Amino acid sequence: MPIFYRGAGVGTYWHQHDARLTGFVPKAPTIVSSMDRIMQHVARGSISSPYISLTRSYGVAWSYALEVGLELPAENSPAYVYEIELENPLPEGLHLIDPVKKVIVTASSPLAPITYQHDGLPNFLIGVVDPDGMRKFLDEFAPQPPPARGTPRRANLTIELETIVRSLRDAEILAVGYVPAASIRQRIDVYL
Amino acid sequence: MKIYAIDLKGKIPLPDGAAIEFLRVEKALARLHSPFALIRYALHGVEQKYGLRLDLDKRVVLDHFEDDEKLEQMTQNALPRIIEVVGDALYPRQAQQPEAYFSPQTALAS
Repeated sequence: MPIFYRGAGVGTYWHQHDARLTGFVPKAPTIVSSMDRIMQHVARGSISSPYISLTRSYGVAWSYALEVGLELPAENSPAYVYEIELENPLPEGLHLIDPVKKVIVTASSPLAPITYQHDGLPNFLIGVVDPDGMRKFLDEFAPQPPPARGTPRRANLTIELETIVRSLRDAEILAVGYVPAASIRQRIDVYL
Repeated sequence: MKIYAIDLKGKIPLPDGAAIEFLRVEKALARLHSPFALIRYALHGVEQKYGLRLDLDKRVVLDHFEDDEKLEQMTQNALPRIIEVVGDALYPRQAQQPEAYFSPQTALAS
């Protein structure tokens, strides 16, 4: 059975509330799931969302737990990583979305004039992955074919591409509905 | 846990008489180049116990002043500058302009 993880930084909702007793519920369960909502959640960190972010990577959950808290954890006030085991078929009322697959499936045809793909230099993607450390690759001009070359500009970056990149960063799977307490196998203390 | 702090005092423009002041950004020293950080701030001169969680890749704060539109707006307005200060502190060599090689005048010269 596949195992998923969720980090809970110090002071956050799932740090103060024990999901082993309540299960996980999204912040805004009544909002209808849509492609736009998925992209806002993954690429823009939207908080009013019908999704519960899970990850297939313990390392990602560990990083969120350690670093995405309202204060940094310590041995006497650790952050938590929840381990969640989901069976197939899923519990009633729960379904999972892989944001990468969702974007790819709904992205436009290769023949469409507008695409999720960028039109910059090959290194542009490195800048998208790491916009601080590799910022210079985001700032490079996107070469255009001669003779006119058009208005000087940087490469096109769509929210679809950002969603793919951020989702891959976090090995992210979105849960829609209710993750029952019975699926939560353990809560691991983490601190540095 | 050892903390690496990036000073924000005097670097983030705010309206005169603003209730909020951004003090510093904290990162775990052992995880200096991860995309996550914590913004420490004061309200009416008093540093708050909890900070604002920041995702540097997504350029968002994950915590919001849901009951105070003015504070929320000031935070959102300050965010690009905060991220810029953090980026310059962590990656000082990146603060330069893109290389001339990639300027539109020279790229793919025909």
